[in-house]
Amino acid sequence: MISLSDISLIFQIAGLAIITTIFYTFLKQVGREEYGFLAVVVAIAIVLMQVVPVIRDLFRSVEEVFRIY
Amino acid sequence: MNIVQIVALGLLTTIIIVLLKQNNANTYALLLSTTAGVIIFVAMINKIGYVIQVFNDLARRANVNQFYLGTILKIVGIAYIAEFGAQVCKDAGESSIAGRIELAGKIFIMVLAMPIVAAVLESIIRLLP
Repeated sequence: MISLSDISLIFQIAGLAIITTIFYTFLKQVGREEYGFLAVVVAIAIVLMQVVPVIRDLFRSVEEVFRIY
Repeated sequence: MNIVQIVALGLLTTIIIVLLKQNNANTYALLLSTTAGVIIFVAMINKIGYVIQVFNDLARRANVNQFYLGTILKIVGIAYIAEFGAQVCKDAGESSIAGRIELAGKIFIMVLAMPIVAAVLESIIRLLP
């Protein structure tokens, strides 16, 4: 069942992506490009922390269903 | 859990990815497409489990050797995971890494298939006069 948490995960990632992109382009105008890049890296780290458990669940469920141990 | 939800999720993610790619946030686009792929498959996993359950019951009734069915299941699983990884790498434009992953998947599958090939050859040799 596609639960609500999955769909909110996608919206969360999309929102974070849009915010950091805008923040990066804004900082580039101001001339602080390296801080903008730092913000992008931090945002990607946050997104990865959310995505990696989902991928681990996928691999665990595939192993369980197909009995690959 | 019907097909409409899956298609809606896929289209929605695609639209967001196009938006992200437009103002060159490619890393997020890749992360989003991987997440959508994972979510759709995890949603389908119990259906696949049911199909495999039926296969097992039929095989047991037709007293096919359990080892062969297990190997086939493993091969399908390995093929799926390797294809998943290779597809994500291809989306990101890294077709060389995708090729390496597919090569590894093929080798794993060949290793798993060896006992079956040996058994087939043995039975053929036994048939010969």
